[in-house]
Amino acid sequence: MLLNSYLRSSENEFVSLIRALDACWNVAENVQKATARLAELTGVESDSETVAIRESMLEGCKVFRKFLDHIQVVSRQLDLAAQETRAVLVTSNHLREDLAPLNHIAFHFRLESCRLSPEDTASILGIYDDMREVLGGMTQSGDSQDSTLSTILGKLSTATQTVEQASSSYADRATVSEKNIYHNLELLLTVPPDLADVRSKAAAVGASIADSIREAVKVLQGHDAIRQRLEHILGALARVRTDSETEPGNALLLQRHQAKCVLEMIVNTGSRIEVELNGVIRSAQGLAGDSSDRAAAEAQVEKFEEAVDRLASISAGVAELLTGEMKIGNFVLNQIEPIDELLNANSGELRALAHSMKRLKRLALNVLISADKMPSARGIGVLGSWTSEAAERVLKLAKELDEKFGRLGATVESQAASITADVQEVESCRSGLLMPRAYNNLRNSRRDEYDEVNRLNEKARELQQKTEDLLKSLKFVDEGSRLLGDLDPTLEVLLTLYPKPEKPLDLNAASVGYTMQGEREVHAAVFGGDEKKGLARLSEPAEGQDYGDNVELF
Amino acid sequence: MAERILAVDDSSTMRQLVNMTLTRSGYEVVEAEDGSAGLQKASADSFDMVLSDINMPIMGGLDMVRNLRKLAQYKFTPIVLVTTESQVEKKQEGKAAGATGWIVKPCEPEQLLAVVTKVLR
Repeated sequence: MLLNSYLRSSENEFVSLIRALDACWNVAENVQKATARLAELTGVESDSETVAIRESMLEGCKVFRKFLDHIQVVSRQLDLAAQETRAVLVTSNHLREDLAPLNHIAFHFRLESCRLSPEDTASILGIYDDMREVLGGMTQSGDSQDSTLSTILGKLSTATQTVEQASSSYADRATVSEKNIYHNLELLLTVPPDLADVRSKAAAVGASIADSIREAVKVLQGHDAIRQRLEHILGALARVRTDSETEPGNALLLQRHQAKCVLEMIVNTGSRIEVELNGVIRSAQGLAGDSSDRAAAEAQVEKFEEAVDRLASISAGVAELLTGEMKIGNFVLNQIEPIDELLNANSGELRALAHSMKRLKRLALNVLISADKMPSARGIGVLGSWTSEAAERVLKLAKELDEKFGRLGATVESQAASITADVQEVESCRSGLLMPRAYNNLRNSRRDEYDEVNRLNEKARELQQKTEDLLKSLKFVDEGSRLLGDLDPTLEVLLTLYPKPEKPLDLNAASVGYTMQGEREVHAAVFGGDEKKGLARLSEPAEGQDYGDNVELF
Repeated sequence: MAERILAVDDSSTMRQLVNMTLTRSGYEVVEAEDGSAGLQKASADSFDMVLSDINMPIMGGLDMVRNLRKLAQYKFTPIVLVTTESQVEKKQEGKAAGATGWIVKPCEPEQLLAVVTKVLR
């Protein structure tokens, strides 16, 4: 009667156990969902928008610094160009210096012509007039070159001064901005240790809890075998007096042995359930965390949010600095781009000058030829020679000037192209910084993550408590042990009342032939041991239909 | 609409376990404590699948399967036996009675779910 009552009470306990385990499983699934959500929030720090924010900040620093460095190089190049321009100015002055002797020569042409016959005078005067024209052109050209070179010098000087002034003030602001950006980015990337801890273990713990509960559910099926065995023992004991085939003593011995096996099953079942439930408790404890660190967590969240806010504000600041750089770049371009036009115009002047000198040389030749025909015009011949020499010097100077202007033009063009490219890069970077960004998403991510961690902690604590209560409520092992423990001496007494069996009982053989062979194999499957055997199949499973050795679909 | 499964077993533990496993996955489970109660419920209602033990009082699982197969609405309904028996002879008997499949206890919740999903697909 007591055993029957135990069967009912243990079955009720298992049913309650299953219901409680179902509730724990729900909590475990919620823990897993919270873990997945946590993984999602962790991913915000590496999602495309957040990466874009970080990269645009770092790009801003890089481009800003690069422009500053580069504009200084350009400034030095322009300074060299200015020095070259001064050298060209010196050459140009030499040109003007050669003008004086030519004027002097022209004057003496006029003087000499007075001593000649009227016919010869007219011819020389004609040459003199041509010379005056050429020399007038030379003077104009010289003035024009002076003006051009002065203008170029002025523009180069303005450009380099502007760069120097702006660079020194921007350099300090660049350093401060860079420091702030790197500092705040580092704050964003630094994960507080408590959060890092939860991140690393949440997924594994969630899965471990679910596994423990699943194993517990499997172990609970062992109760069916316990129940059937106990019922069989009770039935066999009830038949002892009436069963004529088996000697009562042997029947009692067999059932006493079976009762010990059942007790072992009950204890093993209880022990396995305890192992799995303790596994759940340990896992849940690992996630339960310490609620007293709320203040520290809140401080971490605020630190993170402030870092994001500062980055947003720095972003606008850097964009402003980049705007300033663009202005410098464009100002310098406005200064140096016209230089190319001036140089081109000046090349024209030089070509005209060269043309004039060739004309002068021809005039000089004419003078020499004419002087040959005028015995009294020896002086004219000398003047003609001097004129030719002077013209030759001017031609050389003009060629030299042309080459120098060419080099100057190439330098200025190259620097203008370089600045244009830099300005474009700065503009592109600035546009990137001014693009509307999802700062809010990033800003809220750390708080959302902590909130999720708190929820996870709470669920884990709940699971731990429920499982601890469940474990404490288990009575079937103690009760079963007590009852079966009491059964043994009772059977011992009964054995003394019956005569000793004529045929001794081979317990092993009787156990092997025991009709509950299936139950033995069930428990061997649950608890392991050497009784685990391959399960018989009618046929091999088709592909994709193998659900385990214990499952067969016909 | 959720698929309806009739779970027949004299062990309330087993019925509870089957109920918990399958309800979590969206199935509706109705319980019966022996073959006779199972047959009665199946006749009065309609089910998409039957899971049954073999060794039960009043009417065993194999008898219940044979009787179910005589009912027109259960001629092709999947009936899977969930039992501690594993001998080939018993399986042949089950197959001959009209069972669709055989699961030997104890089974993992995932196995039970996989079999139910497979036969109901």
